[in-house]
Amino acid sequence: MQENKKLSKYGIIFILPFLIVYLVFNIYPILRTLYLSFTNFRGYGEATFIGIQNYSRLLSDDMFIQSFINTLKIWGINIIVQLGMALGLTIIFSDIRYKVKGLSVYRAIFFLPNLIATASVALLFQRLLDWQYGPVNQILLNAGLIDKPINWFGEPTSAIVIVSLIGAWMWFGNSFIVLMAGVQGISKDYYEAADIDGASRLQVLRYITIPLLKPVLIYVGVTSLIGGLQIFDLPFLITDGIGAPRGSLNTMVMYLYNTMFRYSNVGYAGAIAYGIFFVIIGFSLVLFKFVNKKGKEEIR
Amino acid sequence: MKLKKILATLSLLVTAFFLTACIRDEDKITLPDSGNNKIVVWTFNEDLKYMAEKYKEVNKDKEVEVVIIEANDYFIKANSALRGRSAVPDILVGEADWIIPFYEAGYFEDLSSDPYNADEFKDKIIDYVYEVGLDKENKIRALAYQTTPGGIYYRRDLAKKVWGSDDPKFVGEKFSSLSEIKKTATELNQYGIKIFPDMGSLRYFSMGENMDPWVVNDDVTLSQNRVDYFDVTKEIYDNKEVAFASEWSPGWYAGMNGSVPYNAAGKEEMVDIFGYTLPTWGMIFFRNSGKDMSGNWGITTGPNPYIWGGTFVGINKYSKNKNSAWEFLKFTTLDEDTLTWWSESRGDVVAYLPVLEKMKDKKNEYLGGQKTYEFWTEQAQKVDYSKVTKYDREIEKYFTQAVGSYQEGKMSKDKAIEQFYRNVKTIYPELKIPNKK
Repeated sequence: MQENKKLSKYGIIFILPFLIVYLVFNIYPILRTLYLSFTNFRGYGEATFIGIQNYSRLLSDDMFIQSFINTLKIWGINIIVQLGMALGLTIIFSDIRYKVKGLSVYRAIFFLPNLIATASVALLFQRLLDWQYGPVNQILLNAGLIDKPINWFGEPTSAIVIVSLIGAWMWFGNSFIVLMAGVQGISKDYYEAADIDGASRLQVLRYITIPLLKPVLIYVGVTSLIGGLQIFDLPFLITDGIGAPRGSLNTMVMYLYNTMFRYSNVGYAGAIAYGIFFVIIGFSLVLFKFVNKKGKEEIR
Repeated sequence: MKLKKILATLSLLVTAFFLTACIRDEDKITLPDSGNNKIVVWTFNEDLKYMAEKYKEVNKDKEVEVVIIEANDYFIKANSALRGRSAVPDILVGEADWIIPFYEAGYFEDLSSDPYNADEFKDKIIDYVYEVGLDKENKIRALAYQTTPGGIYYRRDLAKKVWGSDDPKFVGEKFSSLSEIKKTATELNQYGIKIFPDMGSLRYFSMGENMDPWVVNDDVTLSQNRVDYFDVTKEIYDNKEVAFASEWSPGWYAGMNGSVPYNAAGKEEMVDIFGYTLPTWGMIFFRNSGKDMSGNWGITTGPNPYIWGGTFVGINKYSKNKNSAWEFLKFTTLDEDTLTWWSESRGDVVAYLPVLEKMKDKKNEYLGGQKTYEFWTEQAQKVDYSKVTKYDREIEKYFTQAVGSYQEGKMSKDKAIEQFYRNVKTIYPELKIPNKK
C-alpha cells in the first residue's frame, strides 16, 4: 500500500512538467479565447461582455462563409491529388513484380518538398508563374501551346488549383511514406497467393492492398482534413494577404488572422476560432461515421 | 582673519549654488532609469541600427541593442509584448498608417509632458510628421527622423522623345489629374512606352486633387474621384497601357534600367516604362537597379501629394530606462548633427526643417541634377494628415480588389462598389456604409 502511494507520488511528479506546459499553453489559451469570443475586445483597452453577438455575426458573415467554401475547394483538390499521387507511387513501389530498387532514395526525394519553408515555396511559385516574366508562361509561349501569357494568380479557378497543387506537391511525400509503411505491414503471403492464383494487378489492388491499407488511408485522410481546413501560410504568402484574386484564396484561418491582427477585433476573432473548431469537429465526425458504417457493412 | 571670512563666504556660496543646482536637477529629471546605460530598440528596418552605431560612437558609455523584426510581424509582436506591460523594448517604432492603435492602446510615453516637452520642437518638424506623432488629445507620442512623401519618378529621355521637354514642372502637368494621366498613358502608348509598370502604381491617386478621406464621422465615403478612378483605370487596363510588371517583381526592377519584355498583347516585344510611383526611399531601388540610367531619371508630382511609409519612434510607457531612451530618441530625431550626417551619408530625407533648409540646394546627380531636398520638402508640406484615418490601409486593399474585379471585367462597376462596401462593413462593423450598398 505504502509502495503504491510512493509510486503514485512519483507518477505525479513525472507528469507535472508536461501537465504545467499543457495547462499554460493549451488549456489556458483555449479557455481565454472562449471568454474573449463573448467580448468586444480589440487587443487593448477594456473587454466588454457582449453575449453571443460575435457568434450570431459569424453565422451571417459572408466573408467567413466564403472563406469556408474556399478552404473546402482548396482542400478537396489537394487531397485528391496528394492521396492519388501517394497511392499511385505506393502501388508501384510495393508491387513485387516491379521490384523497384532504391526505395529509401525515392522516399527522400519525394519528401524533400516538405522540408522547404513555405515562404520559399510561395516565392518560388510566384516567380515561376509570374504573368509577364514567369518561366512557365515563357516555355508555354515558346512551345506554341498558348498564344497569350496566362495570369495564373489573376483568376480564382487557376489560383485555387495552383495553391491546391502546390500543397499536394509539398505533402504527397509525407503521405507516401505513411502509406508505404502501411503496405510493408501487409503480409507478402497475400500477394504471393494472388500471384499464384493469377490475379491481375487491378484485382490485387482492389481486393488486397486497398482493404488492408484502409486504416492507414483513414489516418492520412483525417490528418489531411484537420491540416487542410487550417490552411493558412501558402495562400497568405502567395496572395496580397486578403486572398486575391477577388478573395478566392481567403481561407478560414487567414480570415481569423486578419480579423485578429489587421482589423484588431480580438473578440470576433475568438468567435471565428471557435467557428473553425466546430467545422473541423463536424467534418471529422462525418468522416468517422462514414468509415465506421462502411466497416460494419464489410463485417456483415 | 579677513581671508578666512572671504573663504567661508565663498564656500557658503558654492555650497548654496550646488544645493540649488541639485534641487533644480531633481525637479527636472524625474524619468526612471535603471542606470545600466543600456536600452533595447525594436524596429523593422536597419535605419535605427545605423543610428545606434553612431550613437555609441558619440556616447562611449551607452549601449543600444537593436532588434529588427520583420515589418509584417512587428505590430503583432510589439502589441503582444506591450499588452503584457513589458518593460522591454525601451524604444518602439511604428508607421503612419498603423501607429494609431498603438496610441489608443496607450503604449507610447507622452512626450508632450515634462521633462520631455517635445512640443518645443513643433516649428522645426515637417507639419504632417509632427501630426502623425500626435494622439487624439494632441499629445506627442512619437517622433520621426525622416519624411516620406511620394512623387512620380520619370524617364527624362522618354519625356524628351515624346514631348521635347524633360522639365519636371512640364511633366508634372501631364500627371496633374486622373483624366490627364489617362491622356498621357494613351499618348505614351503610341510610342510603345508604358506609363507605369503596373496598375497598382495608380493607387495613390484615387484620392484625387481634393484629397478626399476614406472615413468621415464613421461614414465610409467613395468620393466622385474614386468612382471615376474605376473607369479611368479600366480604360488604361483595357488598352494595355501599363507594362503589367507587378510591384517588386524582377520585371518591375528591370524597368528602372531600360526596356523590359512585354507580352500582354499576345506578341513578345520590348517596352520602356515611363514612370514609377514611389516615395523618397524609392531612390534606393533606382540606385541599385537602374545603374545604367544615372542622370536619366527625374522626379515630379502626381495629382495629389501622398505619403508611403516612414518610421516613427517613441518610448515604451512601461520602460524602466526612460531617461536613456529619451536621450537616444532626441539623438535620432531632434539632433541637427545626427540628422545632417544621416542625410549626407544615407541620402534620406529627414523631417527636421533646419537640416532640410541646409540641404535644399543640394543637387541629385542621379535625378539629372534636380534639387531633390527642395522638391521633397515642398511635397511633404502639402500632405494633409487630417485626411488619413486608421482604417485607410485595409479599406484601400478592398478598394483595390473591387477596382481589379471591374478592370478585369468580372463585375459591373455597381456590383464591385456594392461588394467593396459590404467587405468594409464586414471587417469594420462600427463604420457606416450608404444604404442599399
